[in-house]
Amino acid sequence: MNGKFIVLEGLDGAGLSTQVALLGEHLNSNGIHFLVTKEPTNSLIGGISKAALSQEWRTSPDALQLLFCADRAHHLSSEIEPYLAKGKVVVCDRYLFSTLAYGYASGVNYKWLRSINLKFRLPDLGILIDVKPKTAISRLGEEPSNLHLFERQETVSRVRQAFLSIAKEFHLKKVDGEKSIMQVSERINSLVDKFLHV
Amino acid sequence: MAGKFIVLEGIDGSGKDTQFDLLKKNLKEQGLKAAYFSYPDYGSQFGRIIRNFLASKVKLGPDSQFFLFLADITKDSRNIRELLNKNDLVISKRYVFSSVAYQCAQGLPYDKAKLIVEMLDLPKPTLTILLHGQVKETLERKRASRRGDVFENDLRLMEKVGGLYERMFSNSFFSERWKLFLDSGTKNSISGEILTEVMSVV
Repeated sequence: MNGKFIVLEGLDGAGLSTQVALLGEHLNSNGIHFLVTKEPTNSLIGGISKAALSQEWRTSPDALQLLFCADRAHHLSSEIEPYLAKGKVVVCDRYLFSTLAYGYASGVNYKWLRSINLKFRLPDLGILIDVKPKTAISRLGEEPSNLHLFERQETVSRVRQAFLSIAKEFHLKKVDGEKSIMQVSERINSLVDKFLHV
Repeated sequence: MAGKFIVLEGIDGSGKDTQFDLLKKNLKEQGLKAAYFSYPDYGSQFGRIIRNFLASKVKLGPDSQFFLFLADITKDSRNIRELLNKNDLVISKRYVFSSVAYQCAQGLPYDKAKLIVEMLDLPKPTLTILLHGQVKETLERKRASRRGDVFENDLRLMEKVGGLYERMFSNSFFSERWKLFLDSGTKNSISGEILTEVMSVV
């Protein structure tokens, strides 16, 4: 079997990390060799991208996007491509679609974002875990004031809409993330099984 | 934007540092108001990673290098434009051309690199000065002064870098004008010519 590149995407609070871990267990139980990875990566470049995201230091939105691209390029050449070349499955927690969605919602020109990211390999299977903004925010354990909540919801809603639009554009499979963890996991497992002809 | 944007380019050891410092001094004597940039910006987060890469402490492919170097420049884009409004000149030692030259020399497709640079909406130089010479002699001069970085130690790579600079020069890539200065003359005679060239665009 040739290597397959599977990507999970969604809002912060959609349950990506949980579902990626569960998918890993499922693949394991089917005897499939796989790698679980994520973006931004744990490399030096990924580290400073994460620091910029959590506002530990600031830079221009465009520069930040290029930094994500640098991390992505490094991720592909050092981890993803080698694993795929060995015929393994790679499951990635966030990829360029997150960059497109969050970047666009933060005010960066979508056409520009798209063009700098489309030089990167697209996944063989992309899954969007879709949740309502309120769900995402409450799962993150936030209890902001009314005004802050409204602003938060506005922002998160923008990102969610961006993801939905991106899912259409890039033919990502949409999964209803409002359901229970196990129900979401079963749906993802069946999508992946079908895709891998298991 | 009243001010003119001037870029100084060339392979390592081509005399950029020397000429950059001489130009600074000369422009001050001329009474011109100028702001200065130098890339990589080792004071920035991007620059810190780049420094580790150049010191071979971390390995990066040409793609990652390219985006990293461009990110380092892009962070200053707005600032450069604002400074061009307030100064006669903005001078940069290295700019996007370095990224194209060094990363394409390692295999990044030249046309793709050019396309990405053009897409970035960065300030376009009025004049790009290329300090050009015999690669071997240039590197020997450099090595005499200090230990080389990951690029400088590779003669074949540096020859490719030199070739890419020539290519950008002949395409007049992303600059209103390119001016080539061959490595034949004293540092003062070259700085005199550079000053003349810069004054002609002010």
